Amino acid sequence: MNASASGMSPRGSISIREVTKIYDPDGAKVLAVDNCSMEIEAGEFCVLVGPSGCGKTTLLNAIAGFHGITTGEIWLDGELLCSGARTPSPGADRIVVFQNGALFPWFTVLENVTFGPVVQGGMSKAEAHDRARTMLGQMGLMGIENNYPSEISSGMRRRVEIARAMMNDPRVLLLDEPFRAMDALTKTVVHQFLLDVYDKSRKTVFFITHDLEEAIFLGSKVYIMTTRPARIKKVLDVDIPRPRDFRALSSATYLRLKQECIEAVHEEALKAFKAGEREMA
Amino acid sequence: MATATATIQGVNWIRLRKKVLSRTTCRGIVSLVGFVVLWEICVRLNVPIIGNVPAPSSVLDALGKQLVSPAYWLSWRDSMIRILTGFVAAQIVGIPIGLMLGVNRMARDTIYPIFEIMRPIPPLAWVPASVIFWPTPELSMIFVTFLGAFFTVVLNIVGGAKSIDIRYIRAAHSLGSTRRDIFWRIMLPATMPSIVVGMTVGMGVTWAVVVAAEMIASQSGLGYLTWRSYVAGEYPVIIIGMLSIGVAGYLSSAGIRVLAGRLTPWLKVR
Amino acid sequence: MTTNVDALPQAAEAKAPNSWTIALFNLRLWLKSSTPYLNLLGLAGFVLLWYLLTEYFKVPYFEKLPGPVASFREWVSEDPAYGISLYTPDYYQHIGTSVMRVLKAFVLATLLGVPLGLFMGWKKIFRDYTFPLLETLRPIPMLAWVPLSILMWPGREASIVFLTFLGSFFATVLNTLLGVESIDEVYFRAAHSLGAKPRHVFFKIILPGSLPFVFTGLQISMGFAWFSLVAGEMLAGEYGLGYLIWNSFILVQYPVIIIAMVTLGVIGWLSSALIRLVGDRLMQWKVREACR
Repeated sequence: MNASASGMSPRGSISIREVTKIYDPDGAKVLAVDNCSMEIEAGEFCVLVGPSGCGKTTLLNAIAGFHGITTGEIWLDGELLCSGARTPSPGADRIVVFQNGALFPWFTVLENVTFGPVVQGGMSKAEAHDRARTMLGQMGLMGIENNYPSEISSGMRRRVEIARAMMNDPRVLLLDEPFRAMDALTKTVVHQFLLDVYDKSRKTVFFITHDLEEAIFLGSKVYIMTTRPARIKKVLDVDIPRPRDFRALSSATYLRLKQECIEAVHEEALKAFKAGEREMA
Repeated sequence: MATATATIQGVNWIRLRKKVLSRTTCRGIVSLVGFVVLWEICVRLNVPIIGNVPAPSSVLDALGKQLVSPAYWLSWRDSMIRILTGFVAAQIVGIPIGLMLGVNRMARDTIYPIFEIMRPIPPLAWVPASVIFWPTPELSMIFVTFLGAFFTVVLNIVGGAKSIDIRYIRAAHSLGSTRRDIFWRIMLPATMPSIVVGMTVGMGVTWAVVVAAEMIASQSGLGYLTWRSYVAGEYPVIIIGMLSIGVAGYLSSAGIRVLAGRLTPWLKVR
Repeated sequence: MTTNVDALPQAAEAKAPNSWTIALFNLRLWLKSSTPYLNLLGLAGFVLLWYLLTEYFKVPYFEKLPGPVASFREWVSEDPAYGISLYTPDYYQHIGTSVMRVLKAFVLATLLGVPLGLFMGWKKIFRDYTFPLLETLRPIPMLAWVPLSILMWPGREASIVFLTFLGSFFATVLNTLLGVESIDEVYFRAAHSLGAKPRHVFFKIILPGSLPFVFTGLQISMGFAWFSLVAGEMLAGEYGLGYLIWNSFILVQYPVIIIAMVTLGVIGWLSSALIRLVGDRLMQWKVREACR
């Protein structure tokens, strides 16, 4: 699997074309995503920033195949993934790392990491275990493979979940605010981990967050979204060289981009806040 | 906001219509009707075991007679009185005991094991002892009913009181509460959900106990009605008795749920 | 407290090296606290009160009840006045009959109820058709089924087992269904995203994910089984502990009632402890979570 992939040209380009999504629960039409277009190149680290509940996750779920879209099209490597007429289905080529983590609590770390290859039937169990051990070793996650997720720290769990995704050699890695609700110290560790994984694999990453600093530190391209309905407000090219580490956080480029970002986002955050207040009333 | 809600006088009509005509509801009705029809057919064809059950048509026949008979409604009244007395008594005795055991560690350590030991004894096993003890059968039946709900109530409340988040108590202390305040304003409301659960489960147990006790040791009530119909060979009435008990049980649970909503308004938000 | 001590040796076997030490430490801590002594004090006080009321002071009404000393004497007597004690085969036959009935009913209810509940949680269409039926039958207490079940089944044995079965069946199905519903949607999404096929979702997500609730359900269902069994045996049995209680009442052999009640309590407790043990063994991930 891996061997054939590295031989080919990099895969995982996503093309999002004029996507609109309207939720219709109980006849109350809610416009979640409004006419959104973006081109994500293969191997790009793309970050979407926007206030909470703005519709970023809707877009990610459509790529992941959890639900369809109302109009528009999403293409993956030149294949139509979903459109208004075509409801997608989830697949192991687009793996999601969820907001609150979704390691299966009833499986050990090793069983979790080998879940993908085992259920897809691509590997024997022994082979999958071998590969998983090697990979966990490379990622510095040895010695916990027989523990249950509840027995390891939250930062560890998040790294294992990324490892579980990487085991499937996906075309795209979809991360849905994966480091939310983590303390700052743990965050620096998992950020570095994710950057290392990215530098080694050069997978396309589609990363959602509401944290500006995280977005600039990790991403190659940062899309700033508007309050619901989600539209693209601004696109930033982050030209901080890779491999990056914490030193990038004090570079002039970083600070300039952050300033730019804060201005754009602050306006949206205020709008979102007011909209929220209106909803509550 | 891009929300186009069709609300007229606070009622979301589209939602209501969707709910009533939903596929789930239709399937439910289909399955219930199918069940009754299948049952009738099985009886008509004299299928073993199920064939011994009185057919729905004969039950419907008997129902007409029962509904106009005062004896039937007297059974309702008698069972209801027993349930109410036993249940209310269990709450009155059980809630304070449960709270005391939950709050006071020493009391809990001393008294709780007695409950732990009594709990696995099925309530019905108490019937003979209760009949021996109480002067009238009526009292003994109410006592057994009481026991059924009592254990459930106490065990639930103790569990609830023990698991109160210590932060609430600390917050109350730091806001300057007295011990009394802490009991009435923190412990009691924090335990309220468990009290409610205890009531809900307790009500179910109460009905089961009353019905059995009436069958075993009484001359009135819905349980007795059911048992007597069996003894007298009026088989369709058995089904009527069972359904009546089901309806009565459902109504009492619904009542508890309404009460529960009043007692714990903060849980209803979502 | 007791559950913790029960659970820890289990975890020790599964290569968690320091669990034994934790268990020992907890035990020592427990013995140092006032808890075990107060427990004993409470129980002794209860028995003493019972003794004083019934046998020593012979308080009105209470004097009619069998006292602890009389019941205990009867229980350990080699030549019991009413024919039931530790030394009579009859006692064991009653126990054996009841246990067999509960076992049959419980196994049947579990074998039918757990798959049904899992399936209902898995396939919405199946659930739509079956759930209303279940909900309609559920408010009818199991004991209201007594006459009908005698009517339906040939022979008393079958009707008592059927009754006991009903008691545990509903609890098992509903708790299993609840268990499936309690599984966070995100695990299904994760499994789909990792390429799981329906059968994997069933065996790797639904089954393990609902296990905690299933075992809670099984414990409740065991309680209901004993509950219904006693009722069934009282009304229609020829052997069994429920029958023994009722028969001793009719024959005015009151101490036997207490013996049978205590026996029922002990066996009932043992059976739910056994389920807990099996549950802990199957759900190492839960046990270890609790240890932390």
